[in-house]
Amino acid sequence: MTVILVSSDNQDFKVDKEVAERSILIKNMLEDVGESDSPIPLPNVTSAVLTKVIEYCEHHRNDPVQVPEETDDPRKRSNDIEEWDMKFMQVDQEMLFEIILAANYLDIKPLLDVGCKTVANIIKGKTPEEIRKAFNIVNDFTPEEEAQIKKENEWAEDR
Amino acid sequence: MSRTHFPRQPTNILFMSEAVDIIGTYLTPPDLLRCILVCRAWNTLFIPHLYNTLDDSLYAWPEILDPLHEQNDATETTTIRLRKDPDWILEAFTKYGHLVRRLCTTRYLFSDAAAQTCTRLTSLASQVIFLAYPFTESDNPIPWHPSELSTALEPMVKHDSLLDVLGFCRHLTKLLISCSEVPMQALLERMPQLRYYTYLHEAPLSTTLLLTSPMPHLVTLRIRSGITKAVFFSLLTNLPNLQDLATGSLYKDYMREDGLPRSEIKFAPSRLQRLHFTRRNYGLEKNEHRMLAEILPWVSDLIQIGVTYLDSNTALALASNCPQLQSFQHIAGTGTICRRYRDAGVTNSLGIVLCNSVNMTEIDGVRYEVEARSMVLNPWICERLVVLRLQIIGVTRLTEEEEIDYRQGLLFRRLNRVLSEAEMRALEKYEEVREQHQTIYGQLAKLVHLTDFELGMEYRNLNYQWRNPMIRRGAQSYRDYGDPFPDTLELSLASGLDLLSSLTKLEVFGFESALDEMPRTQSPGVARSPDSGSRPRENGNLDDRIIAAFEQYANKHQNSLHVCKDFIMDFTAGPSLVKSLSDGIYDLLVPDAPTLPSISAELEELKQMIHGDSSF
Repeated sequence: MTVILVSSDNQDFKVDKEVAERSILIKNMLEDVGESDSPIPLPNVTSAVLTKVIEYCEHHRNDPVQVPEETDDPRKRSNDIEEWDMKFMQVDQEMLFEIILAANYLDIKPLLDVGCKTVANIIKGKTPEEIRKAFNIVNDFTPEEEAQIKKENEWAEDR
Repeated sequence: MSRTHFPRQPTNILFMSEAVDIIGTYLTPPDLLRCILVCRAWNTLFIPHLYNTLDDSLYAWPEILDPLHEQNDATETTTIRLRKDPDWILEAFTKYGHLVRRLCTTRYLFSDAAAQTCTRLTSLASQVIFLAYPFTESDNPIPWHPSELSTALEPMVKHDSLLDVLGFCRHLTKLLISCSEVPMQALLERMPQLRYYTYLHEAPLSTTLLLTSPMPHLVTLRIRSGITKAVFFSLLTNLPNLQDLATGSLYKDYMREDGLPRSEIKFAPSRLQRLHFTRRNYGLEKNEHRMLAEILPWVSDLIQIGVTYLDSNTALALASNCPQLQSFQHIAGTGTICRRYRDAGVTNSLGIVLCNSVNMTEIDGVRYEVEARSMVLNPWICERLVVLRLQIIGVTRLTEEEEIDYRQGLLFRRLNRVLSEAEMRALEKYEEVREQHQTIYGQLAKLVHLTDFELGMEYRNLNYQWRNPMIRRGAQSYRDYGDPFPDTLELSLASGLDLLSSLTKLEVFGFESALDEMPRTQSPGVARSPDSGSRPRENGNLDDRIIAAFEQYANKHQNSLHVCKDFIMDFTAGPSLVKSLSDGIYDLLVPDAPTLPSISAELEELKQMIHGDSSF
């Protein structure tokens, strides 16, 4: 069974129901509507982004449902991205953000996670200045404020 | 999931709170510190993550909190001062304490500041709970409502006062106490919301652990020390919802009457699913395990069991009482499979489980052996196995002499010559060997769900310290446990490796010669001794065939296999295998086993390739 998804720029995407249902949003919609051929409008997702998202869902169509694991450590590791996902996430920053937003909107938890891991990996090990450069951010702190923050949170320095 | 949150500026991900919350969990405090220095917006976003978890043993905290010893040159006396003013800590906590959710502390100063400010803790690990909790004044409200607490109490503190404090913690569901006698009955009565309890006292009195009335709230219980049978049954009877129980061991309390009358425990509905005995009771083993077999009828819902020792009686009791059993875990005491440290009387005990428990998915018992003979007589029925770690021993093979006799006998029979007695015997034995191997391989090939398959290795990757010498191979360290069992099962080309398509980890002892796989019309393959000039060239191409088989396997399944084996005796063209493996598919290990002089040069070359190549 297939489902038709319509992107914000009015392009139709025909995908298997199983693939579309990786998105909890769509899954719930389909359950609410019942058997219906009517296309599903996704006004928040452009066709370029939807193409990527569908590619991800196709590749992960048979993945088991994620069970949130109970760990004592709330901090998680971001270096366990699958090879395919890593390649999939090699896109420019704008696309990366769009994918994360779409994953959030469509409620695709694993894609949201892998997107956020990718962002975390960009941040890791960089100095504040390097982070600003990577994300195109202007520093709006005064030097005094900066010194104050450093002093207050000195405990978090790597030793 | 909020759909109304869709931001106006989609390029700025950091204004989507869901994403920031996830990104924050992947960053460490040093990373988060740099994040809050980026700009005001990032500062606001990441500060809560920086303070989510505080542990005063990590990062620069020890430097800040521990007193600094200063040498005063003039008087040569030592003065002690703090690196930071105590007010600084209180200031920091006053500003950010409300953000802290998880706190781990060993220092008074830290706990003290935290106690006054961290009002929204969910998890607390503290050695100094009594400083932190101003519990003496009953009208003094407790500021914390953690749901998790672990604490080591000072011995002088009376347990009544502890119970008073804990009674205030209405949200606590997870509790760990590392010392002090804390009567479990009283504790559980005071804390009707507690679900997970860990008690690490080394040797509590039996009465401390004994329960006398039902406590339906507890789900998980871990006790470090051993327990008596009476305690075990009191737990089983009074914890009807207990799913997970781990304890040191089970022992007999000779001072008192042991166990409850059977009539009393008969109706106790036990939901216990996981049972672990984590310690060995040296000297009392037999007793202990007779008792283990005795308690199993009362825990028929078990799906996982972990023991330090499994004899055949216990295995039989497991098979007949616990039909749901899915997982057997050997809890390593000494962690070696060397014969020297082996337990007596455990051979084939795992085999009893394997041929009776149809639901098994995990057998993690690399210290246990099953004999080939027993495998042939008692076929395994656990076809759902995903993890299998054990040793298969007692595999029959032809000796070198018998192999020569066999080859000669085969030739002579074709030429219609009269066979000598030795040749007849060798031919017969060959048939037996072939049948045995085929039966064993046939049983293994049925395990199509296996991902981890280990047949005991003499080189094992172990974490703890032991006096055996270390052997480094590439990035990993192994310990040398001496000679392996000479009759351990090896895989062969005919062993159905390619049927096990989900394998990701394989550790085998070696490869049998191609003997079983060669068509009968050809003379059998490779002599086990590599120095024989008599080895027929045209049939001696095992090396290429194994390489081909592995390459085929790897191409087919794209898996990363860890092959750790002693194959030099079978396998003389080492360097070519290394070459084909150097693409990173395999991690190859070659032991420093004494080898025959004729291949030692080749072995040296092989070792150089392995050690010299940093990619290995």
